[in-house]
Amino acid sequence: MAHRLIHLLIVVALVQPATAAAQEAVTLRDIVAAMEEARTRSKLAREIDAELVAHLDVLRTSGMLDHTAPALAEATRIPRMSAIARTASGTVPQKVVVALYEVKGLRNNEVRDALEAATSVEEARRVLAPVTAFQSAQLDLSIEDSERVLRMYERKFGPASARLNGIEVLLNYTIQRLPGFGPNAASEPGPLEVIASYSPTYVTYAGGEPRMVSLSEFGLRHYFFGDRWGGSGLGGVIRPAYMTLGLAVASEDDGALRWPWRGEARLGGFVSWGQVKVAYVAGDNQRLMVSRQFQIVPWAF
Amino acid sequence: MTMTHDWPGERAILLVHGIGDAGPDDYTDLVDAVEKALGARAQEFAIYELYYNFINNWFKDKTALATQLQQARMLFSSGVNDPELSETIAEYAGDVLWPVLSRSARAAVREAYLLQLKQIVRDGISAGIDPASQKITIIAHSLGCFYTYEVLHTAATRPSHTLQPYTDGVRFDNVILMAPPIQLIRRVGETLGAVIPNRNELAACAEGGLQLPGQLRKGKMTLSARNWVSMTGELDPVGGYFFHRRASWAYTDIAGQVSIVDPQSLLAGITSKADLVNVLRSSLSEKKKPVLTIDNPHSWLGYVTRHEQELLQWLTA
Repeated sequence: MAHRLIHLLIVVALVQPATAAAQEAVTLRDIVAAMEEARTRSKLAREIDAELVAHLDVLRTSGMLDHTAPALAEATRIPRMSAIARTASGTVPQKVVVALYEVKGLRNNEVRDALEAATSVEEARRVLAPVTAFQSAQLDLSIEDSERVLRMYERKFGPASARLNGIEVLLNYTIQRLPGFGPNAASEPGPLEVIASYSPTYVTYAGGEPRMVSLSEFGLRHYFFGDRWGGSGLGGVIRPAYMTLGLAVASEDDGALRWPWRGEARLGGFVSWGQVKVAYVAGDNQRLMVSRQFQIVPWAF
Repeated sequence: MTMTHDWPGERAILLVHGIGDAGPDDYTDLVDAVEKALGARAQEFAIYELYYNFINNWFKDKTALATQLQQARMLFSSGVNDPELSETIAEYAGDVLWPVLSRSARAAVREAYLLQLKQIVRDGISAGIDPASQKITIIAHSLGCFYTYEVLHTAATRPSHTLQPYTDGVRFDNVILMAPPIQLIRRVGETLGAVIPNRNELAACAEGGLQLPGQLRKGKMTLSARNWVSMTGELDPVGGYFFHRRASWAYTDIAGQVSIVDPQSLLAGITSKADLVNVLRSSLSEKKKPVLTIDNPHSWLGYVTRHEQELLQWLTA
């Protein structure tokens, strides 16, 4: 009984969870050595063995043997949603990336099965731990990446994003197929949104008094997805979640809740930085106006 | 809202809900039912719950869907003002609308699901279990089955997600779909055509029909799941049955799946005329109202309860 307990404690000590420290301690050299040990201690089918040898040779001559697992994971990252093993920058030769991914695959299938059959589950796990550490480092990067993309979707569609009216819902539904509006090939949200709204809350100063002006706005909203953008407080004012730009149309008379197309409409443009909007319309009654982005009546304006 | 757990052993379960708002307390009854099915072995499992309804709520609130429905209802139903009902309808309608009509909603929910799968595998590694040795089961219900199908196809074919069945060794012991609407959504996609943007992005609408997800390498397919189960009931329209009859245009039938169809009756415990007569007789003799309970044929709890034995067998294999 005591003998079995001691054996169990030794196995537990050897099979170390892939903590951050464990990842940092593992290099490509360790991965190659682990697979070489697995190869010599188990009976692999001849074609599998030949395949493994070829891939290990590529890795040995890669010039990356001293890369730690996290650095290796970063250097051999494959672009999001890509179906093939090729890095985005091309700095690591494709044959090295392919070899690394193939070695990982063999570790998780034929090599693991053969080593478990030749030794035990625990021993196989111990020998192949460096490859698991590399895989763990890749997972950490992939998790960070998914979190980044979800933050982007939250920026554009979450509770703090601009609300859409009915016309904007239809326009954005129609245009989502175009680049920049719908998700890109990496499944990241497009930064653009179509604006077609009526804003009755612009304020100007004319004739010695403050006045309300109603505008129709047609344009685009551009979301900023960077980590330093879209926060709260002063930072959120300087680096807001979005900006807008487009054509502004006002009626010939000032006033709130005026139909912009009534009479001789005044044309101009608007721009916003976050929620603060500035617009100008030309004509005999030219006006420079300010407002703030919000919906008075949901789905309407 | 990604869950992370310490694993007590080598096994984990991910529960994926369907239509409706699922918050942290909404899985309680289901978790209890699954644990009851597993009995003493329940303590070997880390149980995860996927939360993605917050994403559907983003789209619902950004487009003010509830307000749209409220205004439409007032327009067409003599001005009845019931914002709570409209909110509920918007909740359920939106859950179905977004994955079909919005590319961004589809992508966002898929990303949240992939993130949870990655975290599960990562937790397993932290517990000392390499991915190829992890025994993970997914149990999904209703629309959750559709998302499971989509996500596993993405995971199997995109190496950047580090969830491929051969290369990364991530093979699920079981994928158990309860009332899957995958074929139903495929058929809706075919009918609506261009109304659904970029339909080719959906695995459910792919040319060649529905297929089990897997990774093709050197001409050999490694499937994402060792055991793929699809179960529905004879009265469950979401699973492709209408009043005891299978509708081939709506029934999810994927080559290689284990198919189970539960006999169902609308009245609980009453499967024949004789049963009904007995209930009515005993209520008469006791001078009490007859107790007739309507069974919800789509109930997730119902599927789990009816298949306790199989769940124990599959999950502990």
